Amino acid sequence: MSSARRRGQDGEPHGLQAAPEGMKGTKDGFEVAVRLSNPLDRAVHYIADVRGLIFDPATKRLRVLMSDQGFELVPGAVAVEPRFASVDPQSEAVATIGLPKTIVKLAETPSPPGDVLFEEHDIADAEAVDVEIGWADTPYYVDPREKSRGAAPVSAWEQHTVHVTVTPPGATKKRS
Amino acid sequence: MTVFIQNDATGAGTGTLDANQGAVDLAIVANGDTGLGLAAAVGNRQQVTYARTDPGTPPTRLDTLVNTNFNPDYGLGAGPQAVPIVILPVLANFVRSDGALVTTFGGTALPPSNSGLAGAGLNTTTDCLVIYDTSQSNGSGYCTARAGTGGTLDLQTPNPVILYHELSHALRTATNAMLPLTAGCNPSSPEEAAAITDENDMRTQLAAATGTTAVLRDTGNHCGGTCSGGSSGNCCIVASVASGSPLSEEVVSLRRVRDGLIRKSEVGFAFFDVLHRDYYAFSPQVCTLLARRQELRPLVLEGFVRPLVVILSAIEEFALRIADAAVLGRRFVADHPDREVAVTRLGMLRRARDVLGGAVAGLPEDQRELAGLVAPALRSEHLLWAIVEPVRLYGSALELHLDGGDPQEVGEHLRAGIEAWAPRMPVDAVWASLTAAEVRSELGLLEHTLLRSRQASANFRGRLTRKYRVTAIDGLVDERTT
Repeated sequence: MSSARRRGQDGEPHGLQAAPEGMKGTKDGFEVAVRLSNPLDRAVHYIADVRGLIFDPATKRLRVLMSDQGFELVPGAVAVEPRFASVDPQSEAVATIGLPKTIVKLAETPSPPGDVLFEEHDIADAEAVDVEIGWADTPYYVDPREKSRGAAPVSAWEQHTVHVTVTPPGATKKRS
Repeated sequence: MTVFIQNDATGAGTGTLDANQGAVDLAIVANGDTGLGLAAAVGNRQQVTYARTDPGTPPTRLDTLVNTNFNPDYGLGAGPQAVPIVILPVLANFVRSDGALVTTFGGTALPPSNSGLAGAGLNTTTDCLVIYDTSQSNGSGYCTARAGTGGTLDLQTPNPVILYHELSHALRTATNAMLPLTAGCNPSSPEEAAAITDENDMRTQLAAATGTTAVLRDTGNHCGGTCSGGSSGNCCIVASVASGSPLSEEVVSLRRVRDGLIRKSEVGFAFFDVLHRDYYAFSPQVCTLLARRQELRPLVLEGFVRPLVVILSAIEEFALRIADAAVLGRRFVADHPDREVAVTRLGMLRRARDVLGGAVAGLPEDQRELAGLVAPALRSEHLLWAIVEPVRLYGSALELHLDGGDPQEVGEHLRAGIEAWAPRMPVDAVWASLTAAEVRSELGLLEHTLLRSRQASANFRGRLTRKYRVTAIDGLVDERTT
């Protein structure tokens, strides 16, 4: 993939654009809607699943990662590949992104012997939701070449990441 | 004295951990052995106890885990250290410290933070943490590659199987015997292949308990997905829509040719990269059209997809199994046992030829719309060579067959057609980037498969030489030609 194909003269990737559409509570958590616009004359394909969530309690920003960039390599039961969706040429689509009510993780601070400390964060506390969506202008395929054995297939497929920030309802009020 | 279940999550709300489910899953791993028990809680943990009576493989493994004091030396200066294994039965809202949702991996075994092993940086304890999603990805289920299917991701992975898979990782962590990990899931890394091998013992035990035949997971494939399916966005969209399923015989066949033959070499990969871009410049739009205009599906299926599958299969026979004309002819005739169906297909092929030819004047509206979408294909050298020309060859062979040509004649027609078509393959710039050894290897592969005849080989080498006359490979090709 040439850098010229990846980026325009201004250094920004040309292609899929994202705009906030809204965020609302649901029975199971929250639903974020993002309007995706494809100005290209070919379809673009994007990761349609949430792959990661990072909440920063200091800034109250939630990162919603629909991208496989930046994750560590660890043993796991299943390397779950994401679902993909596409936006037709010169068209728009709305991606709806389901989020849980809370996220739970191991605490940043070391746990005392004999216990494991956790952190739990309410998504409702987020004052901004930064959505990052990995996409490419060809569908996802694995690379069957011998030399690619062991490479992370989805993150290698992603040509670009589109970013959009969604402001949760009531976030302005929370800040004031 | 080594395995514990964490039953409460300090710092998080009640219900964060599903300790009851963890105990149930462990009991299933023990095959219902009544020797399994839980000691009284100490702090937020309950120690697992096991006086085993069941001789099965998973119970024996669990016995080892529960009744061994693991004291590995990870070689980082701390010397031998006790490594308890702590099971955290979490729900689908659990994220690792790097942000990865548990639904993207189903479960993990994080090595002690001071072990230096893969994943240790995500652990805040000196225990080995076995974390797994008891919610089955919020009820969607985790589906993995069923053995013997070439990667079909339809094998359910129940909680005890996930837990046992992670306990396999935990055992190697606790004995400092972890095998190499790789980011790719197909083929599996050695560490994951070992865990899947163990996991299959658990699948076998579960099947025996229910009186069914065990269906095993492909140890060479660690990929998976949620069982609720959804769009894969992958190969052959036109074929998927026209043939009704991404798992249809036609799609599986095209995928096999793509990944098993074309894309394994550098030249094939580069070729497919261009083909891929050209194809997906119009294919999604064709999909949308087919969804809207169902009446076009028979035309696409019979006039394009099935002919392509048959002719690519013949090319595969010719290239990989060195089939001669007699074999090609017999196969082709056998593929068309019903004359009426073959006549119908020939009619569809002719209509499809009109669509591909852009002769829209006499076409009905839906076919004119299709013609407008596929027109870009006619400007792509790669699509012409890889799809349009083979389908034309198929059409001429079918005509010959229906005109009374015997299998030998049809086979000769196919062989000659393939030998004339093969050396016209697009010569991509990747040839100029290869080392002399790589050029030799790629040419050797082609000359043992598609370019077996002296004439086909000479034609292709001639094109290669002319296109890259000023490059370093010029001399090499000349040398090989003489």
